This record gives sequence, C-alpha cells and structure tokens, in this order.
Amino acid sequence: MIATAWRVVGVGFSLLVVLAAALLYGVDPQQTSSAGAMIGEDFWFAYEFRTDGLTVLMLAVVGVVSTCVQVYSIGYVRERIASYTAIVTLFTAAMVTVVISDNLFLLLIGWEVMGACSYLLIGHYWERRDARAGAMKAFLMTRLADIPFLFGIFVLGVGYHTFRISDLGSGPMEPHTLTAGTLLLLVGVVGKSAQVPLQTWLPDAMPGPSPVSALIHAATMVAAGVFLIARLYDLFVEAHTTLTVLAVVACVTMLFAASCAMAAVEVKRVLAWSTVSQLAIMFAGLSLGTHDGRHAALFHLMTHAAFKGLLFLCAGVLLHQVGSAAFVVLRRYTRRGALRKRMPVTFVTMTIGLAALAGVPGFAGFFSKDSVVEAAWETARDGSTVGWIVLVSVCVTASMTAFYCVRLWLWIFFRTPALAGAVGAFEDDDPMADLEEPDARKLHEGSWLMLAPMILLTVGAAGLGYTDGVHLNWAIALITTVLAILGALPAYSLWHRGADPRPALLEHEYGVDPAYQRLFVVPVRWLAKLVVGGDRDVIGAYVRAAGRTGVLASAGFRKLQTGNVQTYLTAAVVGVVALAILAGVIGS
Amino acid sequence: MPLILPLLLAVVLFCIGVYGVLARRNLITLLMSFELMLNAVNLNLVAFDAWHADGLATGQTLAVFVITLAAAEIGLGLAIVLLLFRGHGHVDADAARDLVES
Repeated sequence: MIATAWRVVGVGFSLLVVLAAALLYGVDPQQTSSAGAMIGEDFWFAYEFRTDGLTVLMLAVVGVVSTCVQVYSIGYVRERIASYTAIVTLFTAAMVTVVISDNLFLLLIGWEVMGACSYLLIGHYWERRDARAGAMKAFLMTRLADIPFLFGIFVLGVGYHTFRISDLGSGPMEPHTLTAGTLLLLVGVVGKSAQVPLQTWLPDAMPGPSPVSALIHAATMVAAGVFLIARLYDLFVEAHTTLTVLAVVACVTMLFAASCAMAAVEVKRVLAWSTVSQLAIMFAGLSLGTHDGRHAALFHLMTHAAFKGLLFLCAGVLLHQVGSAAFVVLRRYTRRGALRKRMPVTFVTMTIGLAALAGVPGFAGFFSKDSVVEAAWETARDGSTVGWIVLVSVCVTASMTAFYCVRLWLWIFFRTPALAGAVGAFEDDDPMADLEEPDARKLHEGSWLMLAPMILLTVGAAGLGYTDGVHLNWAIALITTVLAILGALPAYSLWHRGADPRPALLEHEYGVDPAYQRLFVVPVRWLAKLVVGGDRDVIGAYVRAAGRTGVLASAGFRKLQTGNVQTYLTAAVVGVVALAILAGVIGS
Repeated sequence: MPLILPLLLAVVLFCIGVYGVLARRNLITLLMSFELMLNAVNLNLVAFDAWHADGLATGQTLAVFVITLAAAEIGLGLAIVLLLFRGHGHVDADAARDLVES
C-alpha cells in the first residue's frame, strides 16, 4: 500500500518535472527571488530561482530519464520498494533544485542531497558487502571533493559580494581570485562527475540497482558536474588556467576510462567506464572555452542521457532475467544463441543504444560527438594547443569507444563460430564452470513496465541527434566514422577468433585502486586505530577513574544502610533533636 | 485548669511513643507507639485551643483531622505488617532486613 503510494508519487513527480520543462520551453529567461535574509552586512540570502534555456534542457533530461527509471523500477525492484522509490524521488528533486537554483548555496544543498541519495541507493542491496563498500566509497570520494567545492563557493561569493549566480561575473575581480575560485569548484565537479583522479567510485557503484545506475549516469549526479560548469561558464571562460586544467583532466580521463572499459568483463562495469569517458568528452567540449564547445557539450549531455540511460536499463533486464551481467555468465546462454532469441526487445534496444554510444552514423551519439570534435577543430584551427589536445583525445576515444561497444555487443549476444559453443575467452573467470548448463528456456523478456521506458529511450537514442538541426561537417563526419570502424574492426576480428586479450594493466584499471588503498585507506585506518586507542585508553581511563572514585568513596556510606528501620528512625530523631538544640542555641 | 498539666501529660505520652518506636521489636507495638505520639499531639492541639479560645476551634478541627489521618495510617501500617507476617512468618522489626546493603 505505502509502496504503491510512493510509486504514484515518484512517477507523478517525474512527470511534473517533464511538464514544467514543457511549459517553460520558449519562455523568456526569468529570475525569481523570495523570502530572504541578510547575513552579516554584505550578503543577501534568499530562495532564488532562474529559468532559462539551460534549465529547460536539464529539466527535460532529468524529467524524462527519471520518469523512465521510476516506471522501470516498478517492474525491477522487489524489496524495500517504499524507501527506494522515496529516495529516487528525492534524488530527482535534488537534481531539479541544482538545475533551477540561482543561488550558490541553494545549489550546494541540492548537490549534497544528491551525494547522500546516491550513497543510499548504491547501498540499496546492503546485504551485499560490495554494495556497502561501493556506497561508502562513492560517498567518501564525492564528499572529499565537496570540501574544496564549498570553499570555491566562498571565494567566488565573497569576491563578487553576492552568491547569486546570475550576478556572478559582474564587477571587477582579481584574476587570481577567479582562478582560485573556479579551480576549487572544479575539484568538486571532478569528484561528482568521477573524473581522474577521483574516478574510482563510479565503477564501484555498480552493485546498486540498475535503474539507479541509469539515473545516476544519465540525468543526475554525474551530469550535475557538467551542468555546473555550463551554468558558470562565463566565469570559467575568464579563468584560462582552470580551463586548461579541465582540458587536461578531461583528456586523461577519457583515454583512461575508455581503455579500462576495453578490458572490463562485466556489462555494467563497461558501461560505467564508458560514462566516465563520455563525461570527459563533455568536459573537453566545455574546456574549449567557446560558445560552440559549450553547446556541443550540452548536446552530448542530452544524447548521452538517452542512450546511457537506455543501456543501463537493458543491463538491468539482463541482470534481472539472467541474474548476473558478467560476460562469463551471459556467455553460457549465448553459446546456444539463447539470449538474443529469448529477449528480442532487449537485444534490439541495446543494439541501438550501443550504436549511439559507439557513434554509428545516424544515431544520436554520432551527431553530438561530432559537434564536440567540430568545436575542438574550430579552436585548434585558431592555433590553440588545448584545442589540438582535445581534438586528438576525442578522436582516439571515439575509436576506443567503438572497440568496447562492438566487443560488448558481439560477446554477449552472438555465438562465436571459432569456439563451437564454448564460453571462450572468459572461461578463466567462470566460478560456475563445473555446474551444469543453465536452462535457457527459463529465460524471459522483461515485463512491459520495464520494456516501455527502454523503447522510449531508444527513440531518443536514435532520434535525438536530429533535434539540433543537422549541420554536418562532412569531413569530420567521415573521419570519425573511419575512426569508429578502425576501432570496431579489431574487436570483430578478436571475437571472430574467440580471443579476448586483456592486458593486466587495463584489467586492474592501472592499479589506481590498490595505490589509493596504500596511500590513503591504510593511513586513515591507522589513524582511526590511533583515535580508537586514544579514546579507549586515555579519555576512557579518566571516565573509568571518575566512576571508581565514586564507588570507593561510597563504600563507607554503604555500611550505614543496615536494613533496620529503627536504626534509621533513631538517626532521624537524633538529627531532629540536634537541630532543635542548635536552633535554640543560635536563637538565644 | 492550668495549661502545664495537659502539656506535661502530652510530653510523657510522646516520649513513651518515641521509646516504643525506637526500642520495641514487635511491629504491632511499633504501630501502637505511633498512635501514642499522634495522640500526644492531639492533646497538645486541644489544650492550646482551649487556652487560646479564638472562637473558631481551629485546634479541635485539626485534632479531628489528625484522628482521621491516624486511622488511615494504622490501616496502611497493619496491611504492611500483615503482608510481612504472611511473607516472613514474623512481625519482628529487627529481623526484617531485606533492604540491607550487602
């Protein structure tokens, strides 16, 4: 009952967001402010909201994706439904707050609530150790990045004497202060959007329910970082150092994440790394510092929301029906050709999603990625080093993206001729190798509640590319297509031979996690042990000593309690008489 | 009648009561001693009322209150004594040391 009520609330709220976006579409930018208070002598705090093109775009993305996720969850989530739906709704509401706020602190509130919600949702299956660890990791890493973020807000707000976003950028500002403020904000963005060096939390957030992954990866949380830079773009454009740092971070991240995705052996992990990589492409577009770059980044954000949300929902169907999204488990079905035939809708939608991600001409990802490349080319042509770096990185990443998309698609959906029905390259990590063959006939397509959102998002993944007005630069389109084919061919040839060489370096994701373990986790554990020891042996010792002193002091008085009523009465009478005599002596 | 005579009687009664409460071991005797003390007070009240003669008879009124109170008290006290007897088989104040701090 309460679960149903929450589901209605969740879907209703998401639809309300879509409705708001539809109503605000085409309306002139507005700023409203209400119920404020003066803090100190300089700063005016209020609930300030703004609606402009960026807001409407984000509201539409958030609304559509969260509607899909909410409907999908009705078919997907089986336990703790009420709390799950409530938190997803809160998550959406927090993202909406971030999107519409015109005040840095209001934005920070939404930003932090999202962090808390992602922690709760990643840990939805809290019986599982990896879910608990992933939730904790996500929370700690984003929190760590949020501290510089808060100080960035202070620096910018105090520098401009206002915390109102639409007023930022007006008035004189020391370039160094601006650089410092935007760099601090950038740290928060890097943490939230899982860029290098704070990237490891996103792949480890995969034990969470798949619809939550779709929500986090497509519309909320990680997209908030991109949104923030787009919102404060005027400031970031002024701060050249910050943009250069952003470009370097984005380029390193996109290559790093794409190469990790090439070696991952679990569908959701591949998708997680690809999210990191695609976000880096958006940041690369933003780091160009041009209007075209910002436009391309937001375009890519929108198409990415559609196809990445779709891919996670597809992965959710696989997880739901097969019980695992690991390549090796899926291969056990695929070698009989069962997966594709039993789940035609999932197969088709996932194919379209992967095509959009890989940048197959005609699909959404192709157009948006091309617009980033085009913006980078425009900048590079003017002799900008950043432009060249971005251009080369995005092109290489496009190739790698095609590789891991084709690899994922072929290995999980198609029988390998060379292997004649064997599991193939993933046999080594098969924990159930000795078990008997899984019964493919039990495999079903997901329920229509799950398929309908997927189909809706498929339409987006296929068609969103045309919404921006097709203005294709044919040379660039040709180059990126060739690059995608260059990436896809090795994947096909490896699959055809039944081989999947995974370099140890990539498989261990460059050893970043063990390094962080040694550098940060172990020292922090030591510190924690030290603190526990200090609490128990130093502070606790004082507390215990105080208690024992009381016990010892009371030992003498305890003897007075004999249990004989008459003794007590005698003492009372003697006391009264003594007091009376005393009163008489004093009184006379 | 001079005031001193009833007051002296009251003092004697009260002291007997105090002695009984503090020194006797039988709980019934203890209760009787309480009654003696209360009645000594009553005697005081009545004597002072007669001496004061304020027309409102406040002392006598108060005495009637105390008598009522004594009746209630003896009812409670006897109930406790009865329970003690049922539980322990005696009414000895010295032996009833269940609340001793050991």
